[in-house]
Amino acid sequence: MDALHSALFYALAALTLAGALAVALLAGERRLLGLLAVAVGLAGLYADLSAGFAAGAALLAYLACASLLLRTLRAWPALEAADREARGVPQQVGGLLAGAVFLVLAYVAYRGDFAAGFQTSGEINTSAIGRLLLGRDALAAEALAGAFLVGVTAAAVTSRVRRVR
Amino acid sequence: MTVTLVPVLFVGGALFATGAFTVAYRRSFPGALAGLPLLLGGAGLDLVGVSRFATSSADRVAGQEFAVVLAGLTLAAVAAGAALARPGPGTPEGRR
Repeated sequence: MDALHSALFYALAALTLAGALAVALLAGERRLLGLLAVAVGLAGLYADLSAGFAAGAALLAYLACASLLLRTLRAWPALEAADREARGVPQQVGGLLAGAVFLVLAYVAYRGDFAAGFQTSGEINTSAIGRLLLGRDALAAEALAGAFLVGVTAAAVTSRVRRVR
Repeated sequence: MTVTLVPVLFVGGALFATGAFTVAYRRSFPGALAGLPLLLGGAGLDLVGVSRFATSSADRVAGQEFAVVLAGLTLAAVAAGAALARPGPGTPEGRR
């Protein structure tokens, strides 16, 4: 990677992690600004790592996630009330475990003896990913499409029930 | 400072852990749901990093492929969660 791509990587990583902290620590709709920062930062990181198609897919998916969460927050503001209550022992233990997970992952990243190598042979483009998704891993793509269909159908049905009420 | 697999794994791990923290620590349902994209985004970033820096010639785009699958899975999970979200029966909005 040249210096420009490296600098871009670290800038986008900072944006992504700042957005993630905003999602974790802010409340209400301000949290969604953090999610937008994560969407832009993560898509930029993917693109910087030569994964343009994954960058486009992630950007679209995360923007849709932010709009769905915004719609939920505006439809049911009372759902936010639970965040104003004091955290119980399970939440505190869960937060500590998440910190422990980060320490383990950071240790593995530094100490793991990964085989390095960037293969220049073979094609690496959108059509290659499409062939894998629709050919070799068609079952995973079908399962994903099924999960997506269930989610969207549930959202549509619930939205219709709320409007009828 | 050039980018190798280690910084990518570090950023992916930090994103994953922040998502895990959000899911575990938030008491409100939308708050916890907002942590899900962070969790899966961290995993996707690690996959793309391995695909870029430590891959074999036979399976170069597999990491990118699963990052795309994870992005779709994130959207499906958040859509299902947003559809299921509703206030408890004890709240004024829940009795509506």
